[in-house]
Amino acid sequence: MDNSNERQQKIDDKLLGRLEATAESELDRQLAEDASLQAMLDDTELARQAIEVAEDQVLKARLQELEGSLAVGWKSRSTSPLRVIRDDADQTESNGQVVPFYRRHFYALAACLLFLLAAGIYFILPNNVASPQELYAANFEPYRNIAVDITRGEDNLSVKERAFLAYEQGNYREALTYLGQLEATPVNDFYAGQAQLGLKKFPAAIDDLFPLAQMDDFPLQQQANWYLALAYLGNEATADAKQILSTIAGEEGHPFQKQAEVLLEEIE
Amino acid sequence: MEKQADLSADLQLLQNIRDGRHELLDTLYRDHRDAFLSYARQHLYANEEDAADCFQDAVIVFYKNAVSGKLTELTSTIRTYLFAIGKRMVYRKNQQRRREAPVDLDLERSPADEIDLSIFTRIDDDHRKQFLAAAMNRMGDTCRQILTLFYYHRYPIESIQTTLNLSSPGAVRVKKLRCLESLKKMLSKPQG
Repeated sequence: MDNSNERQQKIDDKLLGRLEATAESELDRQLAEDASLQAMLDDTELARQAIEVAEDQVLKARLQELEGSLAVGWKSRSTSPLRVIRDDADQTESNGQVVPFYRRHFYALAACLLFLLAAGIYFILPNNVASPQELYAANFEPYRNIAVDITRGEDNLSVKERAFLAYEQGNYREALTYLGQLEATPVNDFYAGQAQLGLKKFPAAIDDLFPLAQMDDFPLQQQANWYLALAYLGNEATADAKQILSTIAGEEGHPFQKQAEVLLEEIE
Repeated sequence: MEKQADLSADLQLLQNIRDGRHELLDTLYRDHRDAFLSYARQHLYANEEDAADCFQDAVIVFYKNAVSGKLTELTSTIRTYLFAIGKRMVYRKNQQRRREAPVDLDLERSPADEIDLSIFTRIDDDHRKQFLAAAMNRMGDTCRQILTLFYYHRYPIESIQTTLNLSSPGAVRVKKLRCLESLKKMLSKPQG
């Protein structure tokens, strides 16, 4: 474990309240003397807050959903206009009462108007808008293998060579199996992301590509951004895809600048 | 005698929650929701919606205190804790809505004093909350799960490996570090 990992671990222990008193005093002393360590603590605390806010929202949504299922009885007593109409309809079914003619007529008229409106919209609006997944499919080309030089025809291929041979042949499942046996380096993750994209496993592709797209010192960072945008598109997270594509389109010399401009127009 | 049995069952529940069974939140909510809503309507001038909203927050605060180790022992039943926290939440909501505050003789000394409510109020600015949550939501699923299980639900690395079916504890550590760096980087960009 390198020094940076050890420092991060100590900071994690401090923020999660896992340090003994003496170890905490020692860390506090180091923090007072080392500005970079203090910055690491501040950044980690901010990240922890983001994690907390996001998960609070997840738990809240889960309890709200549970509340929704438990509060049905109370909600049926609500007096919103829509509820009154539904209650009337329900009562008719259960009590066998006859719905007055004028109300039936009103429902029939409303249904006709809705149908005409829907049909009008269907025929008037252009139908040639591609879906995000179609745009992904039209734009995805797996990045060429520049990681491993494979000598074809040899029997004694290494795991790495087998991984990239499978990748070049479009056998993404097999490529992923071999890549999973290799060390988790950024380059291996990049090609794992490509293979996931090839299999249309978009959330897994996002997992692999997202960290790489943030890595300034990764030589394929720009490419990772382009493929991350495609993964978002495939996952129907169009807003996220657009955000990345706008950045690429505005970056002179980006290897995918032109493609990003065109794709943005197609999305719009 | 019955109270003693309740307390012992609650201690077991608390331990299960601390052991990582966060699905028990639903059980907590389901078991005590009706009693709290009825209490809040009758005694705290809360409408049903506000009472449910506050009770949801109370369950979350209780859970966070339990997993963070701030609440390790119970001096009352879990229901008493939930009511005490929920009551504070309703008072806060009533104040926000400028409703009349009811007289409460219990407020000066209550089990909620043993609970860290700052966990709930720490980040109160909506805009900031949105910025923080948006950064997390842009992470991939595995990154989000690793960071959440580690920093929020306080899972040990080995449990994360098992839960997410990752190859080794070392792989979890490397991935966690990489995900954390990505999140930090995103958060370092100025808020739009």
